[in-house]
Amino acid sequence: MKTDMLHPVSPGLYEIPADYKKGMRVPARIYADWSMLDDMDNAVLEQLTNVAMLPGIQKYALCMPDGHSGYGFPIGGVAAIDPDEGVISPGGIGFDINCGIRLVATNLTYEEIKPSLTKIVDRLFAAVPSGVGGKGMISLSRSEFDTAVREGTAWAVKKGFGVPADMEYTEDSGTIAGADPSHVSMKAFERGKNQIGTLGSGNHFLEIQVVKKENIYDESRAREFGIVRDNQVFLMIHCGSRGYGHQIASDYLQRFLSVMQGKYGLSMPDRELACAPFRSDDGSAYFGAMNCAINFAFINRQLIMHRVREVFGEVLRKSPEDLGMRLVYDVCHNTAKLETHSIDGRDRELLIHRKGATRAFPGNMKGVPGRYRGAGQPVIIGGSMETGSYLLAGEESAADSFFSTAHGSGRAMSRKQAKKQFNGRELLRSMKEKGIYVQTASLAGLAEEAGSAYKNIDEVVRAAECAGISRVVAKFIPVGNIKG
Amino acid sequence: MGFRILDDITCADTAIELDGGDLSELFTAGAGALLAVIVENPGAVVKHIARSFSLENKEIDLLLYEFLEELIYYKDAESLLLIPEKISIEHVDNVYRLHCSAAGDMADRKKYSFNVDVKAVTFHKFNVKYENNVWYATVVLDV
Repeated sequence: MKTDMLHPVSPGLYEIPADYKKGMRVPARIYADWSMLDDMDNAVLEQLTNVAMLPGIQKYALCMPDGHSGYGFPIGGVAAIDPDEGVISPGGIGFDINCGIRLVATNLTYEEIKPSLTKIVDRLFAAVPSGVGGKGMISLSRSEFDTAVREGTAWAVKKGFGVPADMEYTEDSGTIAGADPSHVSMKAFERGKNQIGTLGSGNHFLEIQVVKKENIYDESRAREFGIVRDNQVFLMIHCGSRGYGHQIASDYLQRFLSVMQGKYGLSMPDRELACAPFRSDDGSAYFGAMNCAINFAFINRQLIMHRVREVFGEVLRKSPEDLGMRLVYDVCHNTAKLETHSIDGRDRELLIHRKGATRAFPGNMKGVPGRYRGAGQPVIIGGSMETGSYLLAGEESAADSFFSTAHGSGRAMSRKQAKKQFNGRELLRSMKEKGIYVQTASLAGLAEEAGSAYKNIDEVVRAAECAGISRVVAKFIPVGNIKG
Repeated sequence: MGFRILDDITCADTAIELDGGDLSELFTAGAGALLAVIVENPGAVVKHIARSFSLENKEIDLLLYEFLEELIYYKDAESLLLIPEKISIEHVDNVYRLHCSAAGDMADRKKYSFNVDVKAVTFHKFNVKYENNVWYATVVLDV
């Protein structure tokens, strides 16, 4: 990436001044170390400085350490918008609304599951629909579906797909307020109705992971998050709102493009930054629909976790409770949420757009479960299927990022390049040799997700810690993986 | 005339380049590219379930956007992989009107090998143009 306009602000933080490009309302800031900046594509710079032009943006347009180019916003983009004066933009949230990730603890060690690992992965692959055309676990009428997306995880738990504690350990308790299905098209419903409880494809996964003693970097926080023994087994689930959320994003992107200039006099340099005033009929309709997709994604991950608990119980012949299968936390990646943040010493309600970024609240902020008051909110960073993932914690020093941090490792290689370089079947074999047993709906898709196609996740989390936007707690090593 | 999958436009997703001697060819190429992104062996998709649909838009690029979105809709709502058999597009009173007759098969893992699912059509680098009697388009698909 061109770096001549970047000014260092503090360790791991660089700024592009607001006079860099005409129309910028605030400076743009990138959390990264110098070598990561060098590797970022120029489109990140272009997109981030476009984000700085959004009406109502406060303080800075931000990019997290795993940033790479997206549409409208870069992936890793964060923008805090004044809801009274500013806009909401589907391009600041993404097509996969509330794509997110959850971490489930067990009381098992790797040695205890090793003899059954192949069986567990095979059973999970059969039990959790994945890939193109994967049919959902349940089918609902429109009216029951609408009830579900209004209530989120609470609906799933009420229907027997979980326990009340699952709500407590999900962002927003698994139920975002303000979901209004009357603003969701029939097409979105039809795309989503058969996809509840499905993983999807691309970079979505269900993974069995192990935490080794030497990969625990903050013992006190690790204990609070439930990491209590060497080689302890965890499950990670990464997926989103499937066709339901994708259709809502597409519907409102087109709607905003058709009204933003004529009705609201708004103009942006990129069609993917289509927007409408938050306090308008169009803005509030999208917010109501987007919140339905947020709740859909919470239900999706909840149902998958329910199946995971069932499979572990069946294979290991113990109840999920006896296996200690507790949800550590569920975080969202692609959302716009109303949150209270301090701007120049004054608490204000702001609409925080996070696209490929994770909320990272310190322990003293509202919304963090009581159990994590000391440790801070768990932040789950999904890595590639070969290299591992991380658990971090929110920090008080992250106020300038509106308590946001990275969400993954970020791609370093295009999908086509990866497919040229790697062979799915060969990858399956080499991963098995390394002790990672994989089941996939698509060998070609697997090649696109090879570890070398991603940035170095160790560098991403160290950059996040160096900049003070979250603290590294532990690293998880994959031993079994279901790929969509 | 047809499509190419591009390597240098997007890192995380998939870009396609289309061309056609007329709009019908351009849109047919778009449907072919979409199917090739999703299915490893698109030529093997059996055409035994028929669907037809009509769309209209004042802008030709937005019509292409809606057309590809419609095919994605069928893929999710009915698990159908569709191949256009006949596409007619007319431009009357400043409105483009499309009618598509298509046929295809269920997205069945036992019958077909899949690459990756497509979530949406994006406006990123989205471009439709007519030059030297040929229609061209560039489309980035969110996968």
